[in-house]
Amino acid sequence: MNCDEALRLIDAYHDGELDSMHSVEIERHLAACDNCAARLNKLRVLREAVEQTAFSAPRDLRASVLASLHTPPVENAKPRLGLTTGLALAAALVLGFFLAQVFPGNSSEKTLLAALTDSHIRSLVGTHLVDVTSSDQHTVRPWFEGKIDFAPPVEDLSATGFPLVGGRLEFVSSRPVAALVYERRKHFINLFIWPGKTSEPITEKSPQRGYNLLHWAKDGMNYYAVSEISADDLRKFANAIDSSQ
Amino acid sequence: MENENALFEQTILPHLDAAYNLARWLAGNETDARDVVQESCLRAFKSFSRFRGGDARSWLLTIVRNAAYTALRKRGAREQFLDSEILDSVADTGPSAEQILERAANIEAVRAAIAQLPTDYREVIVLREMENFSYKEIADMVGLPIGTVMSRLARGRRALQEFLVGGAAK
Repeated sequence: MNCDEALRLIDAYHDGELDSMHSVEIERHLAACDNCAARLNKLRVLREAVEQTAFSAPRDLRASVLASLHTPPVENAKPRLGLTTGLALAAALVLGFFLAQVFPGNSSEKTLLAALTDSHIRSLVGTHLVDVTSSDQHTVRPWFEGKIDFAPPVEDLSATGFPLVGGRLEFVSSRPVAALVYERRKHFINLFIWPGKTSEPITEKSPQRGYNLLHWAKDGMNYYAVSEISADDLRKFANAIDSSQ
Repeated sequence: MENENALFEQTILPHLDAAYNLARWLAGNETDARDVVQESCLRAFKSFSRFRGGDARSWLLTIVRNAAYTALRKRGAREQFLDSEILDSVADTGPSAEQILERAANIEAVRAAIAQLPTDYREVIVLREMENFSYKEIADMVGLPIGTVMSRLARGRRALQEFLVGGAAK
C-alpha cells in the first residue's frame, strides 16, 4: 500500500470501519511510514479535541419538554370548541368537585401527586414561578389574604439554606392552594399548603417523574413539598419548616 | 395512555443531551436549539406509536435534524461551502498534532472552529466524533450513501484542523 491509498483509507481505519484485510495492509504501511502514522495521530488528537465540546442539555430543558408533552398545544383544541366541549368541561368540573369531596382518599392520592408534580414543573418552565416575589415572609403572607379562605404559615428559611423566593396561587383538584417557592442551590422547591388534617408525620411519597415528594400535616394544614433536590435535602427542608412553626 | 407516557419518557428522554447537542450545533444558538428540541420531542411523542424498537437515539436525532433544518430555512440561513482547496486536497499538509493539541486546550477555540464548518460537514462531525454513530447509522440519518458520509467526514476533519490552527495565527 502506498501513501495515497493509505491516506484515503485512514479515516475509515481510525473510525473502526475498515475491513480486516485493508486494516492489516494499512497497519503494515503505518509501521513503515512516519507521515501516515502522524496523520493517524492527528485524527486521534482531533477527536479528543472535538469530543469535549459537546453541549449538555440545559438543566431545565427536561422539565419544559415534559410540560409541553402534558399540555397539548391550544391550536388543536380551538376549532373544536363548541357545545360538546362545553358539556365535557362542565362534566369535568362536576367530577373535579366530586373528587375534591372524596379527597384525600387513597385512590385519588395518585392523581393528587401527579397534579402537584405537574404544577411544580409548570412553575419552573414558564414565567409563572411566583405571583409575589419576596424573600420576606411579612410580604408574602399578607399577599394571600382575600385570595384564599385560609392563612398559610409563611416562613423564610434562609438561615437553614432554603431562602424564600415567593408565593403563588394554584388550583389543585379544584381547590385553591397556596404554593410557596423556596430555593436550594439554584433548585426550587414548591411547598403546597391547604387546610386539612390536624397532624400527620412527614412521609415520603413515591417520586413522580424524577421529582421527590414529601407530605405532612400540622395544625390543621396539609403540606406537600415537591422538588428535584435529593430526598435527603427535601427532608431537611420539611424538618426546617416543621420546627420553625 | 399513562403507560405510553412512561415508556416514552424511559425510551426517549435519556437521549435529551444528544438531541440538544445536535440541535445546538445545527441551530447555532441556545434559544433556537431549545425550540428545536422541544418541537422534536413533541413530534417524537406524537409518532411514538410508530417507533418499532431499534435505536431510540438515532430515531430521535433524525427528528431533531429535520426540525433543525426546517428552523434554519425559516430563519433564511445561507448555505455555506467549503473552500475547494480543502475539498480537493487528499495529501496532508495541515498543522501538526502538537499544534492541534495546543489549541484543543481552549474549548471555545475548538467550538469556534467547528462552527466555521458548513452545516452538512458539521453534522457528520458531530454525529461521528461526539455521538459515536457508525457510518451506516449516519448515512441512514442524513439520507446519503455511505461514500458521501465518508468523504464529508474526511474533508470536514481536514477543514477543521485548518480552522483550528489557522484561527490562532489571526
